[in-house]
Amino acid sequence: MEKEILQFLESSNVNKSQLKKITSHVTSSISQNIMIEKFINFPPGIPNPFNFLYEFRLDKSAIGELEKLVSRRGVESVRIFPKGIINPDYLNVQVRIDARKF
Amino acid sequence: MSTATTFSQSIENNTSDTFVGGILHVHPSLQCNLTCKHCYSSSSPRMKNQLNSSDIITVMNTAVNFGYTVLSVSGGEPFLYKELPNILQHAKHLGMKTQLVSNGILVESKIAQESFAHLDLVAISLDGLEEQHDLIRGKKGAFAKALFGAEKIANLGIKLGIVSAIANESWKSMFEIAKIAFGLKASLLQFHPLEISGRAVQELPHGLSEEDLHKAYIIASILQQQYADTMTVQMDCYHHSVLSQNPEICGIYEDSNLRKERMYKIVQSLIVDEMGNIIPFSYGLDSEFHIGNCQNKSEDLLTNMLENYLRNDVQNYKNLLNRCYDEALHKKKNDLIVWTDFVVKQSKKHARQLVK
Repeated sequence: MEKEILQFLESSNVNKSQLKKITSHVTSSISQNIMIEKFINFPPGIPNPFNFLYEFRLDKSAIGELEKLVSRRGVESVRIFPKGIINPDYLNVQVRIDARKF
Repeated sequence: MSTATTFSQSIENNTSDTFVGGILHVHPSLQCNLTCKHCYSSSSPRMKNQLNSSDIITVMNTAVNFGYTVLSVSGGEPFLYKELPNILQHAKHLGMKTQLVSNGILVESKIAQESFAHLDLVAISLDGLEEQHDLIRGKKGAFAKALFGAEKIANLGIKLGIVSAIANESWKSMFEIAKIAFGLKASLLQFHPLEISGRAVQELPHGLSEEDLHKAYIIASILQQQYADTMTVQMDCYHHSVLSQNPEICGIYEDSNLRKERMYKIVQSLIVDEMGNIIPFSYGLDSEFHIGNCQNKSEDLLTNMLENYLRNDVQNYKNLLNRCYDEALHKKKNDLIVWTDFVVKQSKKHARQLVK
C-alpha cells in the first residue's frame, strides 16, 4: 500500500488541482472511518487528466457509508468488488473522481 | 526546537485519559547543543540567557489556579537547563502533567537523569531519515543519537513522542518515520509543517510548497488510520472542512461568565519565553498580544496580571482568533491551514496595520 501511494504522489501526472481533491476526499473518508489503500493515476494519454481512482476496503457492516460516498462532489463512479459473491465479509470499493466537477 | 507549541496540544491525548486543562509552555533558555537550520526560536550554543527557576516556579503556582494543568518545557534544549529537575519536580508537586521536547542527544546527562523521574512524556525530534535529519541539524550522527535517546526514554517506561518537521520532499519519509516511531512504542507521532520563522528565514527560505503540504497531509491521514489502535498520529494542519465543523480546535470559545480557572478554554496554551514574556497561544505571537512579563514578580502580582488580562485584554486576542478563523474559512484560497503559523503571521500583520 505504502509503495503504491508514494508512487502515485511522486508521479508527475499528479497536479495541484488533483492534490486538493484527493485531500478533500481523504478528509471525508476519515470522518467515515474509511482507510484509503491505493490511488491510481490514469496513464498519460487519457483525454481527461483530472481523473483519478482510489480504492479502499469496506467492511460489510459499514455498507451504509456508500450512500454518503456516492453523494460526494466529483465522484463519477463507484465500483464494488467482488462481483457475484453473495454476502462477502468485506467489499473492495473503487471510486473514480473527476476533479473538474468539484 | 523544531516545532512550535502545537506539540503541547497532543499531550491531552497522551498523558492521561481524564486530562482537562491548559498547557503552560515554558522556554527557560534558547541555549542548545545544536544550531538547526529550521529552528523557529533561533536557539544555539551561544544563547546563554536563562530564566530564573524561581520565576518559572512562581508562574507555575499562578497558572495552575487558572486551569493550566500541564507543564511543557522546550527551549533551546531543555536538558541543558540546570534547574530542569527542580521545576519538573515542583510541577508534579502541584499535580501537573509534565512533558518536554528534546533533540535526544543529552539523555545520559546528569540533568536528564535527574529529570526522568518527574516526566510523563518526552518527545524527541526526528526531522526526516538519517541524511535529512543530520543535514537539518548540522551535525553528522545526530539522527543516530536521537534514536538512541528515544530508545532510552522508551526503555525507562516514560511515554515517548516523536515530533517531525515536514520540509519539502520529507513527505517521502513519513511512512518510514512512522515505522520507527511504532518500533519504539511511541504513543505520539506528530508532524509539523516547517515554519518560516527564526533561523529558517535565512536557511530554508522556500519552506514547504503547497503541493508537498498536501502530500504530507494525505500520508499523515493514512497513517492516522493505519496506527489508530497503537499511536496517535497528528498533523499540525487542518482541512477547512474540519475547522468549519470544529471551531473549538481553533480556540473559538464563548463564555459570558468566564471564571479564571477556565481561562485555558480561551487561551489553550500559555507561553513563557526565555525573556519571561507571558504570551497566549504560541511562541512568536506579536508583542501586541503579550500578557506581560513574569520576571521578579510575586504570585499575587502575576495573579492580578492574569485577572486583568481576562477582564480587559483577552477580547483583543479573541478578536484575532475570530478574524483568523473567518479568514481561513471564507477566503478558501488554501484548503489546508497550518493554524498556529497562520495566527502568528496574522498577529504580526495586524500589529503592522495598527502602526500605520
